[in-house]
Amino acid sequence: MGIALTIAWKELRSFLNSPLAYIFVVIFLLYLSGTYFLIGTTQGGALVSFWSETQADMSRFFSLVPAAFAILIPALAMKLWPDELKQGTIELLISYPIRTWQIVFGKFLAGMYMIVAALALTIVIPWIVDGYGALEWGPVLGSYIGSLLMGAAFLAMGLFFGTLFKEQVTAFIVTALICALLVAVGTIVTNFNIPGGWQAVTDHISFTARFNYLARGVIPLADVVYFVLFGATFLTLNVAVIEFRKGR
Amino acid sequence: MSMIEVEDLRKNYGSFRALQGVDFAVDKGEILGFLGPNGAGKTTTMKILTGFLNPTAGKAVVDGHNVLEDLVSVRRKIGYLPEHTPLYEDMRVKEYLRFCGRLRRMGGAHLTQRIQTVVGLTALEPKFSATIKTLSKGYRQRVGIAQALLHQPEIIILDEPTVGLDPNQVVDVRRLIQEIGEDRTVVLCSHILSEVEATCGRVVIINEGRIVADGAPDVLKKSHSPTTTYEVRVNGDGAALSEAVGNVSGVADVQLVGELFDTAVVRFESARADAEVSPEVAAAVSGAGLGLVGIKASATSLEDVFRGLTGGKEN
Repeated sequence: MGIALTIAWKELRSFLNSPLAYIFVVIFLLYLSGTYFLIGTTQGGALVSFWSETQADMSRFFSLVPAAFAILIPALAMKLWPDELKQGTIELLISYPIRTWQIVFGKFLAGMYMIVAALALTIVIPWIVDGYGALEWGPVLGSYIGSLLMGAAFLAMGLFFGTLFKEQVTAFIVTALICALLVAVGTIVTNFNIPGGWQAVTDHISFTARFNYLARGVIPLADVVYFVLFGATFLTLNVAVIEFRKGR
Repeated sequence: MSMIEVEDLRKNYGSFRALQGVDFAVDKGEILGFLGPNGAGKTTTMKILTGFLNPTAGKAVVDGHNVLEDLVSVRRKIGYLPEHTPLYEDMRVKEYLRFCGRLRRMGGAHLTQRIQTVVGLTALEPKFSATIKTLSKGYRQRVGIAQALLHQPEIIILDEPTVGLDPNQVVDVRRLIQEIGEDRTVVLCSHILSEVEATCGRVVIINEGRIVADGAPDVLKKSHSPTTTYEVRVNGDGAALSEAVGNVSGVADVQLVGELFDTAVVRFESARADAEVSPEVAAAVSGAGLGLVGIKASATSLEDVFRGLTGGKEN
């Protein structure tokens, strides 16, 4: 664990030194608060914003998170592997007495730290809402847990594509596209009456559907397990790709 | 005992056979020059020893630990400077060395003291707080060497450590390598022959994935070309000179190279030691009444050996 933390420290340092990471976090925050407070989200064909809300409810705010993550997280993830591979620093790193999973997990931890920091900055918003009317904190907590789990799953996938493509831009585009697909499958796609059998499949894959369950404030084990397995699979694949390249 | 033992090491990249059965051993305390033209397999061999690549076949053992079985133990023993010195550009030198130490599970006062020592050894003090991307090539190289020495490894592998350095920096780095080599095993990969000749007690030459020579530089030179070429310059007649030189024992292949006005030059080969043959030739020349201007021995260089073995043209 100490080794993974050392790697995480290095990656975090490089995040905090890079203007791009700040820019994406700021865009993330502006998008969430701007849409929630000023523009509003659609409900029954009409735009509903914070100001036309009739009760203290944050669900509209958190419904914005999956799409925002589909941009923010690929942007954070694209820094983690491609630089290391392109500059060849991986060769020196691998010559140290450490294990590949420690490198992968360290990078993952640094990305998680950035996601936690970005989410932590949104905590003012439920606090403001609570000032206008008693807010039910259960769903808020559930939404944060759901966001973290979904974020972890996206990040693990982004790390994996970073090792596959080595180019920041390619890794970003591919990760963002797949994230967007996993988010859209549960929302836009359900609007086109899919035949019954397929509905079950899309519901099963959809990140949005699972996120919405968590956001209600109940924590269904199946959804937690889904996100954790999704993330763990990509982290394992990431280790496997690095190991496989040695024999190439 | 051998610190590094490589047996029948093979590596294919797709259909390209980068290593085709490489064997060599490095003894404790030795400075080994690993020499070869670009693309001969030097870097591939080093990447296998440090675990960045797996061999296709064969065995590599570092201080009793097999590279394929116990890589973490192998890596503990080795300090490695890869080709092109890849470093984290946005770190400061002191942060970088601390990071490297932590990855080797060093810490506290011990790490601080080791960082001080290697920074002193590589003369990095003036750049200790500088960001790596602002450093000149020479300083970058020293940072790379410093991280390789940090944990007092028994084996140090340096891949092309002087490429891109100016002549003064090259001399500094070579001196440093010799200092390190006093009590550790060093493998120095290079295609610069004078470097290897100046620093290494033994040379392994690799070409097209095979070891083509292995031995001390002097021995290699002797076996490649057992005779030495001499040139004698006199004030006098060329024919008389050729005759006088030809009469000395152990002299062969006498040729008149040039005759201009009063001066004549003759070239010959001899397998005898310079200290024996030159005085005899000098005596024969003066005996023939010719005025000796000079005798010059042109020694075989490691470069000749290298070119001969690796298929390059000889002079």
